[in-house]
Parts: sequence; structure tokens; C-alpha cells
Amino acid sequence: MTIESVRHALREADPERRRQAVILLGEESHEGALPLLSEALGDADWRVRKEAVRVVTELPNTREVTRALVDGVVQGDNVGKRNSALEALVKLGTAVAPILLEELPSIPASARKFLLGVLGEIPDDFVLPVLVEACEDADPNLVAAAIDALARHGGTQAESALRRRLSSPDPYQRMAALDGLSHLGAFVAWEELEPLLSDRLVRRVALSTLGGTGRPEAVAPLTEALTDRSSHVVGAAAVSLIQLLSTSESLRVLVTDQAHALSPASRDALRALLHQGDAQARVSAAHLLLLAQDEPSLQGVVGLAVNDVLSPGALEALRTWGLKAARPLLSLFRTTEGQERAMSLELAADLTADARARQQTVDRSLEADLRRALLEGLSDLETSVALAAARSLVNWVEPEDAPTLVRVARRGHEALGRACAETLIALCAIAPDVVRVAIENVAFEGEGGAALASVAARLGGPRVSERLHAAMSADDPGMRRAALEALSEMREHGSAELIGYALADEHIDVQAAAARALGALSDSDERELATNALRLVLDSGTPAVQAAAVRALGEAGDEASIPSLRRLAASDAPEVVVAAIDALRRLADPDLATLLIRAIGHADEEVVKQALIALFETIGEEAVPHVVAALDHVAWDVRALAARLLGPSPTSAARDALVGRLARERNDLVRSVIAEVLGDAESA
Amino acid sequence: MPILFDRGPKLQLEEFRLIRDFINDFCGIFFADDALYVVERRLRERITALGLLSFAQYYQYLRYHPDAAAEVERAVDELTTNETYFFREEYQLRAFAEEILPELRSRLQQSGSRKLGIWSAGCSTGEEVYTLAILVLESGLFEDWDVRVLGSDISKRVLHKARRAIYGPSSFRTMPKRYERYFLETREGLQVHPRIRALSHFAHLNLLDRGRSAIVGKVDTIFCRNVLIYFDQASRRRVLENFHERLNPGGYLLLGHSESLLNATTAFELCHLTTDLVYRRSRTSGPIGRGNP
Repeated sequence: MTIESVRHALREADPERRRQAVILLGEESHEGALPLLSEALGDADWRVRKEAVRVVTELPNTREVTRALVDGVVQGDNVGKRNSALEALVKLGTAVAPILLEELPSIPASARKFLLGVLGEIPDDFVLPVLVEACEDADPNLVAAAIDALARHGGTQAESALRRRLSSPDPYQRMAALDGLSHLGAFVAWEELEPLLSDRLVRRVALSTLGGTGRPEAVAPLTEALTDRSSHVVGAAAVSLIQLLSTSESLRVLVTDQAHALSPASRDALRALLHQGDAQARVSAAHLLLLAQDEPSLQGVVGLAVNDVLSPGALEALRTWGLKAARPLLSLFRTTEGQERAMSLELAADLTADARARQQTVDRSLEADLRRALLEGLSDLETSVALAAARSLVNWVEPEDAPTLVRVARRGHEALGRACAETLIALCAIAPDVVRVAIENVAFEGEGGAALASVAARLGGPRVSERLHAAMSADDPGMRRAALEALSEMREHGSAELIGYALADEHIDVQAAAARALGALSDSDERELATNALRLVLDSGTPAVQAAAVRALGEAGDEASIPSLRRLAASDAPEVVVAAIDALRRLADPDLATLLIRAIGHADEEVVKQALIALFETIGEEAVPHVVAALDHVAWDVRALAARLLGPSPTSAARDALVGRLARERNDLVRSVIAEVLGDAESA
Repeated sequence: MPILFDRGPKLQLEEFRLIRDFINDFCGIFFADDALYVVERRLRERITALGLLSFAQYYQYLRYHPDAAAEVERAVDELTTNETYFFREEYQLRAFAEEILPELRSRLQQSGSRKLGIWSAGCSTGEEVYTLAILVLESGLFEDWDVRVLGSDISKRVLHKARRAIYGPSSFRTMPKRYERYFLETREGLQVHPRIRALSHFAHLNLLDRGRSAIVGKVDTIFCRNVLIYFDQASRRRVLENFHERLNPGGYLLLGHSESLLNATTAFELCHLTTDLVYRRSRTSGPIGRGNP
């Protein structure tokens, strides 16, 4: 396509044709392409502009391109063109930085501020002097842009420049500088923040930064700020208080004491915050209110708990509130719906059960009310409420509850069935005959039958066996699986053969469950039958079933299967290889090391990890060179494992490798593991 | 789910990141490290249900099991399930009924169209879909029009409930009484009236799957409320590009009250209604405006 035809295509009404023309400009090198791309950067359609950004950043001539892009920024009329040009400059990054620094002094101030923003995105430190100098410019817009750019750039020099702006006579600059430091996670000392607390414009940002000071002096102004008229200020104060609380034990005590003494106005403000503002403010408000043991806020707190928004710290505060919160929560159960109702009930029950476990005195009327509520909840139409009740009833279950639990188990919700079954199993310990009667005439087929099979297994007896045998032929694979698991648990003689049939079930999960169940029977008098059956599927099953059979043989200690397992360690299916390595390790295969060294080169990182663990266990320090090599594996989780395996006392070669890896490592988790290992090695 | 006292397998940070990244690759949903305890709580039930013993085993299940795709959908469902109910966020629905629907009717009629399409992206158990259908019917503006309200979700489980259209009391906690006539009593709860169900349709869709999302066709309004919060920035952009493509020019995008398109896309224009801010695809395929590229 000639440049003329591309020019023509860029004038077409259809944006897709214009976009295709831009693509062509990139694919074929055209003299005169740059002006056309410049034009396309300001196209009316965002997809054309986006394509132009991509193409222009792939062009070879950086100086000419940079100049064209700078021109795109300087022209003020077409905002789309300006933004596209800026986006392209950011993408070009370091390559254009020196040219931008050259051009900057001659660019009008109105455009210079945008280019400062571009410099802020470039990670190289040589851009910093220009940004720092721009902070002293007479034009406040340029100063603001420079501050913003420094905040995005980060680093020690940027932080110092931002700190100097904290004492600027311009309040907006003070605010921007503090915001920037906060954004960088830079430590700002109490002494730098205190003067800013009385600065109306900067106050909110100052309050939100106080949390990082770790100073007890910060608690009082933060507590005072909880009565501010602005919910944003209250939120900032709440977040900072919680941040301080987790700094040290003494601050935890101080903030907790302040929470206990919160004024009515503060409590009102925090309660309002539970329903508005950002997530962090709401969680912090909840935490403070729980520390304050504030009953009126419980419904709001429960609402956050339902959405899993409560932090571990807030939950700990609720645990500390303990039994005293149980009755208010029970009241909430009566006045709320759905998941809030379920959560209120479960929290009330958990706190009461915990109090009992700690041998605290629990009021009998509370226990009676709780039990009544649990039974009411059990019959609630809302599954979440019934589930909460079924789970919690385990601590208050009575023999007369058995028929209700069986009925609710059959409602057809899997988790509900399991919860009812667990409570019935608990009841078996005190009233087995009652449970036996309750499930006697209940068919295992149908809803909830699978859950009840596990209860039957706990009861045992010939009648139960017969019913479970029948259930092994159920239409529902979930029922078949539950039946064979129950039979395995009962360990009756003859069950291995029956369970063995299930290795040929039409459903994979039943087959895998059968393999696991046979493994569990390997320490019974049916060991030989069980292990023979498992060996049969090593070559004929699907990978998921093979893997289950392999693991079962390993757990069974079946040394006769070692040759087969060695063969499977070369399988195409990674899950089979992982299982085979694990099994051979358990069986202490004497030739394992050779196999493992091969497996370390496997394409699947789960295999590599399993092989590394097994190799280290098998040959100890001789494995170090292989583990060190794994520090350069492409998968971060392999690198993390390798670092961890090198342990608290790495050899000097290993230590050098760890140090070298740390210098190159970008994954924060791997870095953290390496630093921990090296730190442990130092202290050892 | 048990919340106060730890019961069951613990989720280590490495396992969390592996599972998180796996799910993110599948459907764009992303959880930061500080959500580890949420993921731990919500996925424990899945480990028990599958007969597994640890999160490490669960990760391997997601990677290798033949039923892994279904399990990932199930996991996403557990991780993103927040309660929904009829007439949720009423102020926004009021804006939809009182301002958006009349504008759509007027404009579509002028263009000669008598077809109205609405997409509830991430419809969960269906209450939003039926709510929107009720509002369209109640408006009286679209008699004899071809009205379709499509709900899509990545979870087959919630779609099953949506199709059954039977709901318990908590789904009606904020529903004004005057809409009760759109429900019929059954033994298991209230069922949506056939007239409303006739306007409502459901599809199993991953919002990141642009190709398959073409099944939606072109619509006039998209509701995607409290869904995008679960996506990482790159996935959010992809979903929004998809939405832009699915919307007719002048079509509306309504998000959750704490969501915005800031830092995600500038392809939509902001539209100030009386009680809400919504987004809109430009009415022409040309410039949205000099100030808002």
C-alpha cells in the first residue's frame, strides 16, 4: 500500500479502516509515515489512537519520534492527541528521557507540566534533578506537576525533595507533597506531621500518615479527629489508629484503652462509617467499635462479616468481647434476614462455645435461648441460616434433635447435609440408639443420602452394612462414593472386594475415592486384596485415578509395587509423576535419586518441586547443587522452594547462590524467603 | 462459613498466590494478598466437599483434574458470592426507570427500532434480571416491543437458581410491596411470574471471553454492579472494551455505587442523571468530546 493510499484510508469514515491503515504504517516502512501517525494519534476514535500509540513506539528513529510526540503534547487543541502522545512517551521511557530533558526548557509551561509527568514514570535517577528543580519554579502548576511526578518516581532523592515541600508556604503543595510521601510509603516522622495537623487543608492527609509514625503522641489527635464533621477525616483517623494498634504491644494497649473510652459522638461517627466510605475505613471503624464493645454497631459489623470484610484483627477484638456479645447477637438473629441472620447466629454460638471451652460461667438462660434459636434456624427456609444452625448445634445437640437433623440433611444442599451429618455423628457419642432409629428407615438414595451414609458408618452394625452395600449401586455417583467411604471406615471384612469393584465405576471421582479407600484398608486383614486391586489400575486408569492408586500404595508401604511406580514416574501425566515420586519416597526406593535428578528437569513445576523435596530428603547435602540450580527456575514457586530447602545452614556455595539470586530476584515472595534463609544463616 | 475460630486446613501465602494466579488466568478475578484469609475461609468448604486434605491438593486438583474447569467456576462462585436481592440499590434503579428508559424509548423509536436489549453481566442468582424486567414492564413504555433482559454469569450453579426463579424471604427485603403481583406463591418460596420470565434469559459466560460474549448481541443498557471490583486492572480493561463493543451507540453502562471507570478506560462518557452517575457509549462513533478522549 502506498503512502498516498494510507493517507486516503486515514480519512475514511469507518474507524476500523482507519485503524487498519495505522497498522499498515507500522508493518511497512514508509517515508512520511511519522506525520500520518502523528495525525492518527489525534483521531476521533480511541481504537485508532490506541493503535497509533502502539505503532509509533515501535518506530526506530527515537529523536524524530520524540520530537513529533512532544509536538503532540504542546499543541493544546486536540486533547486526545495530547494524551496519546503522552502515553507513547511513557511507553518509550528511558529511550526518550535524555531528549525530553534537552527539549524541556524550550517548551511552554502549559505543556511542560505534562512532560514532567512523563519524567515521573521513567525509573532512571538522572531525571530527578529536573523534577527537583521544577519544585522551586514560580509557576504553581509546574510545582504541582513536579511533586506528583516525584511521588510516582520514588526513591531517596524524590523523598527528600518531597519532604522539603512539607514546609512550602503553598498549602496545596504541602498537601501534594505529604500525599506523595504517603503514596510512596515513606516514613514521615511525628515531628514533621504535628505542625500539619492544624492545617485545615492538609489535615486529612496528615492524619492518614500518622498511623505510620509508631508514636503514642499520635493517638490523642487521631482520637479527637473521630468527631470531625467530615467522614473522610474520621475515616483517615480510624485507619491510622488501627495501623498504630498493630505497631507494638504498648500501642495496642493504648489504642484499645482509647477505644473503650470513645465519646458518644465518636461512636456515632464510626457507626456511620460502617456504611459509607472506602473499604479500609469501614474495616477500621468496625475494628474500633469492636474494641469499644459497642452494641449498637453490631448489625453493621455483622454486615461486614457477611461480606468477609472484617480483618483478622477485628475478629480478634470480637473474640475478646466474647460472651458479652452473644446476647446482642442473638437479638440480631431475631431481627435480620438472610446471611446477616445466619452470621449473627453463628457468631453468638461460637462465642458461647468458646466461653464454655475456657470454662467461663455461661448463663443458663443464654444457653437455653441459644439452643432455641439454633433449632429455629435449623428449620429456616434460607439455606445459609440452616447451615449456620446445623454447624453450631453440635455443641448443644440433644437426642430429640435427631429426626430434625435427618430431615434437614435431606434438603438437598451438600454443605448443609454434611453439617447435619457432623452434628449427628457428635450425637452418636451420647445417644447412638436414637440416631440409629432416626436414620433406620431413611433411604440413602435421594437428597442428603450421601451425608447420612457417613453417620451410618459411625454407627456400624449388619443392617447398616447391608444398606451401604445396596447404596454402592445407587444411580448417584456422590452416593456411591459416600457409601464406599463409609464401608472403608467401618472396616468390615469383605468390603475390600466390593470397594475394588468401584475402581471400575463409570465416574472418575468414585474410582479415585475407591483407590483412597483401599489404601486406608491396607492395614487391615484385607491388605493383600486391597493392594492387588490398586495395582490393577496402575496401567489402566485415568491419570486422576492412577495418581490416587499410586499414593495409596505408597501410604500402604507396598514395596512390591516399586517397579511399577518407577515406570509411572516417567508418565506423561504430571499428577501421576508427582504421586509416584511421593510414593517412592515413602517406600524408600534405593534407586530413587537417579529418577529424581531426571525429574528435576520436568516441564511441569509441580513435578520439579516434588522431586526437589524428595531429593533433599533422600541424599541430603549431596542434593545442594541441584537445588542451587533450581534457584534459577522460571517458576517463582520452584525458586521459593529451592531457597527454603537450602535451609538455615546453607553451604558457602549455596549461600553465594542465594545472595546472587537475591540481587536478581523480582518476585517479592521469593525475595522474602531468601532474605529469611540468609538471615537465619547469619544468626546461626 | 465459620469465621471466628479456625477450623480446617490453613492456606499458606504461596498456595494462595498459586491458586489466585490460576483463577486470574481463567477469568480475570484477582485478590490481593490481604484477601488471603477470605480465600481461605471461602474455599475450605470446597476442599471438604472434594474429599481433599489441603490447599496444596486443591491447587493440584485445579491444575490436573478432568473436572477442573467446573471446579474453577465453583471456586469463583464461592469467592465472589455476595448477597443479591430484588431491587437492590434502589436509587440507581429509579434513575434507570425514570430517566434511562424514557430516553431509550424516545431515541430508539426515532431511529425506527422497537427492540430493547438489557444485559445484566454477572447476574448471580437472577434477582437483578427479574427486577429489570419488572421495571421495564411497569414503565408501560415498551408495550409490543421486543424486550430482552439477558443475565449472564460464570457460575452454572447460580444460573440454575436463576432459571428456577424461586426465592426465599431475604431476596425480597427491600422490594416495595406494589411489585408483589409479579410473584406466585409456591411451597418453596415465591416464584417469578411467567410474564416476567418471558422477558428474561440466561447465559453461561466468562466476561473475559470476548468471542463468546458476541452471543449477547448488541444491547442498550448493561448492568455490571459489584463485579468489576474483583478484576485486576488489565482484566477490567478487557471487560470494559467488551462492554463497549456490545453496547449500541448511546447505550448505558451502570456500575456499583463504589465503582468507577477511573484509570480503567476513557472510552465511555459520564452521564449525570438526577440520582446517579452512569456511563454511556457515545451516540456517534466519532469524538466523544475534546475534553474526554
